[in-house]
Amino acid sequence: MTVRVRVERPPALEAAAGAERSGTERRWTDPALATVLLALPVAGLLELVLVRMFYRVGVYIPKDGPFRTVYAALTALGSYALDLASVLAAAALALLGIRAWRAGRTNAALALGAFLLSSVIVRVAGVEQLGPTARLTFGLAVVALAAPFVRGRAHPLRRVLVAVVAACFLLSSYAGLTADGVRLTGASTGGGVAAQLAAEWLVVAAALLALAAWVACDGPRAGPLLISAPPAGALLTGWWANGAVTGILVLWTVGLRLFLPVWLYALALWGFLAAALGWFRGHRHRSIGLVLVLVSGLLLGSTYAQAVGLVALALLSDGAATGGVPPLGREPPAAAWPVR
Amino acid sequence: MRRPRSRPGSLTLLLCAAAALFLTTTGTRLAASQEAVLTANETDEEVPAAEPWDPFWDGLPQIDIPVSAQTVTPPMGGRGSTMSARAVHDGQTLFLLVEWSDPSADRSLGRTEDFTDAVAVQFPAAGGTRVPAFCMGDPTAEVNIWQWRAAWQADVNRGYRGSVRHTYPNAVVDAYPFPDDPLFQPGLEADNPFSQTDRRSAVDNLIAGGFGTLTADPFAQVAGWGQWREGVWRVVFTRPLEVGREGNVRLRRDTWTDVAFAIWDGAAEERDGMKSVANFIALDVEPEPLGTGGFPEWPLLLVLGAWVAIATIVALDLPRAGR
Repeated sequence: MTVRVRVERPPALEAAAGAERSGTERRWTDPALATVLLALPVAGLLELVLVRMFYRVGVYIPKDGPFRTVYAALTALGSYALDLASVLAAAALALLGIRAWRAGRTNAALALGAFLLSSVIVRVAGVEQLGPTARLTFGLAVVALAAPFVRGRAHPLRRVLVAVVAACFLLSSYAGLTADGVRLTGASTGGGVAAQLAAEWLVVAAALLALAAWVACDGPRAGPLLISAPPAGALLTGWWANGAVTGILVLWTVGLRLFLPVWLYALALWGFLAAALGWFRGHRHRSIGLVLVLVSGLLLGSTYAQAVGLVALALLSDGAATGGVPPLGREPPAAAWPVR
Repeated sequence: MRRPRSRPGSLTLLLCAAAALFLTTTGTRLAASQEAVLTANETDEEVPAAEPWDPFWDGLPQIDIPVSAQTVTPPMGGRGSTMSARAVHDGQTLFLLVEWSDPSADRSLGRTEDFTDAVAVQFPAAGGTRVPAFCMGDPTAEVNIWQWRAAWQADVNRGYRGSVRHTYPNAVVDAYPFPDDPLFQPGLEADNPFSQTDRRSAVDNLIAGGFGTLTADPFAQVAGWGQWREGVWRVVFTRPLEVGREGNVRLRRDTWTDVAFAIWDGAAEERDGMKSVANFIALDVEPEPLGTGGFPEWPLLLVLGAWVAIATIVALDLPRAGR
């Protein structure tokens, strides 16, 4: 008896294989993109801790004696980390766009190019002239990056995860667009604050979905589940010890208002970290994607945050819209990724 | 398995690091802010500053602002809600209308257990070197605060009624020694803003450089009018654009500054740091006349046209990409 087994290739692999067949040379873009994608979460996390948290907390602390020097050094480092992360995010998007173009994914290449161009235009011309430009192209890029993966053949939980992250980004952008709309038309469509609150619900859902997707695809491992528990416990402890300070730090860093029961956020943090750690060995790009979702934050208050969010989405979707992503560090190449 | 060569990666990282160093040393930011912008267009109409419910205000663009509990420093308080703001200027004066829901109007400070509804707007003070911390600024970046109180408004509208005689009309006092001697009324004598009985403005002009540094800077040209109607407060703040006064925000046509908001609910016994706060948003004092919008038409049409074209291409290509 002959048993025929049909092995499906993931969309990313299909695209990558197509590019290989066409003889596309990626002599420098792949290693460049891999390096940028590995450096971006480091710079982003450093910026998150030193600029969004330490700098803002530090302004309330009397800066006398040695602390003054330490404060100045750390805030200068944070400022550099912000600039480095901004450059890396832009470079990552440009390289992903090139990759998408070479793989024949013109829609993603076009959307990423439009976002980068609009970010430059908004930066040069000023947001007062062209405020919604970057937000509109960001929304377009979110759809272009997420849609192929959501409609693809990956594990349903992973597709839902990407869809929910994309929905978060779109809802947050809508909140900004309502303000832009006032400037455009003089009238408000309303619902901006409600959209932000809905996005926060979805953030919690996305974190739990990430956990479920990792468990469903790779199987649970005790290590990530155990290592993730203390940070979640620390959030709960911090909330009970001083909910006010914990709340403001969370708002400043990732833009969450913590209006839901705090145990839900702790659960979400646990799931989020477990998934990020769990995927780190075999699917490092997904781990980095999750970290970048954290770095981009919910409010997406700058084109930097938007750029980081787009890179995160590209990684979480295995680069389905950009012809795959190069192997990151010791991660096996795309051909070795299981179809799930 | 062939590993990517490291040289292009290292070179790219080096270039990115150098570019970031250039940005840091020159103080340039690659990213553009996407924060909400409150635009004050110019009008040649007479602005009904003392009539917050005049239909004129409904014609101004309004932006919604989320507020949350003040949780940075004790005493903490407040709640999450939404307020809105509108702004306009006539080339000389800025008019800023804020609106928020409050089921009860609390206008009394007469009794110990009375607390007044209030709202404040906060700007970076002139002379600050950077955008200050939104909670009362910091020593290197002070803030200028205009605080309107419902109790002050009641004093302006109907005269001071915070005395014992007004608050407890049935109370009986045999005699007050030296009722007119300033020695026994130190608050009044020291010009404490809280002790004023002859109030001309419902707004206090304040300057702060961190917690515990709030200082009154009495300035008659900062004014405000508030009215409560069917569960909603509307308050109009006014101030001349240019005042050239140290510590007071610089407002000029065709310039941007930042503005933050705070509201107090007297019924919830909110006062001082117990308040709901909103972070800084941008305030654009726009020279364009009211009604034309803040956007020049041709760049906007160009942008929207380009976006529609790109969106169409992306949408047409999506089914293929999904395969």
